Amino acid sequence: MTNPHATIALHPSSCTSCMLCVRECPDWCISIEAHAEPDPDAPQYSNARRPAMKNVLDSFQIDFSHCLWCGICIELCPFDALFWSEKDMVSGKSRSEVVYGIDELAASLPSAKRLDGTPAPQLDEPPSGRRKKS
Amino acid sequence: MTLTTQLTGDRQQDGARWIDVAPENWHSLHAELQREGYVRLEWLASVHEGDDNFQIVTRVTDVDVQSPVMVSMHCDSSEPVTLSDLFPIAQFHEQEARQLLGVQFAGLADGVAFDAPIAGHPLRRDFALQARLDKPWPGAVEPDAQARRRLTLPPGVLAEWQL
Repeated sequence: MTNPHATIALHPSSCTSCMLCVRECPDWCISIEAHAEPDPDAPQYSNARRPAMKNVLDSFQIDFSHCLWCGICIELCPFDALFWSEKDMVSGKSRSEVVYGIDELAASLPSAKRLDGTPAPQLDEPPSGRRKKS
Repeated sequence: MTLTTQLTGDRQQDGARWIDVAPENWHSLHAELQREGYVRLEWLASVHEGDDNFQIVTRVTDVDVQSPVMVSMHCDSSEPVTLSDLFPIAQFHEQEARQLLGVQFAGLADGVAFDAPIAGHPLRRDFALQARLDKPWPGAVEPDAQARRRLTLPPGVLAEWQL
């Protein structure tokens, strides 16, 4: 592979929708839709003002027609959800074909590597980052 | 090398000698450097620091390109004097700064660095980029609306540009 930085891969279950990558992206090419729901695994405290919530990812899009391949989102992700992948970036006839959603980004996982060179977690594997294993 | 021009700062940093100078000594310092053998102006860069404040930096080297000198000054848009009589290449960089930042160099020849029509001064910090006006900031999404976190704002986007 001549270009090891071909696409970006997302491990969806690692993503906590923390929005850090979206806010740090220099040209605003990432967008996330997510909602919060009560976390059944969180400890229940009788004096809690509201139940412990967790974010559930609804949509994650990277617009590769804007992406700079700067890698800031990958280096910054505190939950190891984003990786460089060696899967080829395929051009499209319209702009919507290079806007990748969760499925396309997860399809890049088999050839994705962490920054230290070890293979990235696959779709059927649990979150490998700091997100709680459930 | 000791310089007779009055300097406001002189330090070693990143393998180069950094000299800070007041705007009125800008031209005379470069003339002195050129007499000392620093005959090669590698580049001249201008940065907008907000309002009417600019930093202008040049990198000057001798023929061996071994001991670079970085000369820096803080000025407003009307203070600088052109260096194009000392270093002809400075004309391009100064015309570029005039076109993109609106810095007026006294004595600089008329002309533009870029042929394309450029409206306004797009490298100034208060210049609103069309790409930032066309699209709302994706980072404004807050998954947990009840979380009551501090409101985040898009970096580098002024409040009056917001949709």
